[in-house]
Amino acid sequence: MSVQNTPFSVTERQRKAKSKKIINSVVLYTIMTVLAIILIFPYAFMVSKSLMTGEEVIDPQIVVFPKAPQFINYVNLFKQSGYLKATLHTCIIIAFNLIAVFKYDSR
Amino acid sequence: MKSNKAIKFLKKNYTGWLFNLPLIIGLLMFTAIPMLCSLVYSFNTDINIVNGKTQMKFYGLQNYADAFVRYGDTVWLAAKNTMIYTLLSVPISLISSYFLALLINTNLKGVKTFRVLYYFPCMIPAVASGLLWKDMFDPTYGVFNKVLGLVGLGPYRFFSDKNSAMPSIFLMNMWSIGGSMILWLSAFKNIGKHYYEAADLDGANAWTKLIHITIPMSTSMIFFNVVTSMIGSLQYTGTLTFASRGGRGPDDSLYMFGVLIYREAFEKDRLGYASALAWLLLIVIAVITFLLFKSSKWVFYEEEV
Repeated sequence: MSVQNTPFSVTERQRKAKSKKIINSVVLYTIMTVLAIILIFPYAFMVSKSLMTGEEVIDPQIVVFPKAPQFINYVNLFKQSGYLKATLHTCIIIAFNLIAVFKYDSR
Repeated sequence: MKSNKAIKFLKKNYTGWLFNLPLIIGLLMFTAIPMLCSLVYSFNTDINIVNGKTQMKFYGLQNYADAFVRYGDTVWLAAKNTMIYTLLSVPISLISSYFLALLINTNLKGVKTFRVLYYFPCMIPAVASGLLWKDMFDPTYGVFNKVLGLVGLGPYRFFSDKNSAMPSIFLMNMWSIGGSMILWLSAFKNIGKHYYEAADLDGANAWTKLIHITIPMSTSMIFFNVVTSMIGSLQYTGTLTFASRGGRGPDDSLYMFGVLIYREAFEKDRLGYASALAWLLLIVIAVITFLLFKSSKWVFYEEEV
């Protein structure tokens, strides 16, 4: 009796396990995607704002995407704010830290 | 006689000392000497640097007494805010990052992309992050109020209201839980697969495996994260970038100890008093860390077995 039932039971069990696995995967992907959207939203919002005009930034309506993306903020960044000099300073500190860590970290 | 012994010892270990010299110089220059200077400053007042020379008046223990008596109210307020922030933010961020790490500790396709996405916010500098959240939480123009307004909620004042300022910081901090998540993941990856295989054979479900294998085997990382997060929270100065009134927030609701030290040192030019506050904070951190280590019998180190 049990010998006759075994192949059927195994297939049934495998099918159940497979469907359970698929449901688990779908649930996991859904949760992971929702969390990823929540965590990435502020970053995307920041990038989007950087492409907006001053009026769009302070618009009382929700403006998620700029009507006509413009790069004047990035141009100003390089022309006016001393961005390259600041980046150079940061790179020097990073280089110094990396050398110090690799050379002197005894662990 | 003693100096001869010392010279002999140095001569014998000459190469070793040479190799260690850069590290010793670095430690002295960037850790020991600045700490010693701040200790000296904490016993002095009217500290000025004139023509490269430091001038100051000896003040004894008065800076420490001032912290408790003269400016006691402000210090107590900052200490209370910092404690509330630490007691709430450490468990919230650690528990949420722990479960986030559990969630992505799978072999599903594309899970590495999700790991990168979750870690992404940690790559943004704290200053930029503070300004970004200040903008999003803006009571008038902020995107949060606009979205909440669509479903009939708000407007909320977030950082601009004394009751919602602290919870808003917790919400903001949740954004960068990816940093702790990476540490949890590394702990999970170090747990031997054979434990889970044995549990599978015994018919254990996911919850049982979490309670009896994953959590006990990651206690060393839990301990590490608790200690480092606690120290980081007690030293928190992030409100300087986004909170009103020079980082103090509405009605001083965000006045943290780190901000108090910063303001005393660089805005009010009371370097001696600020140094005394820094040493008081160091003592508090040392005591709490000591107590944490003393109560760490629950921590399991696999290599010690």
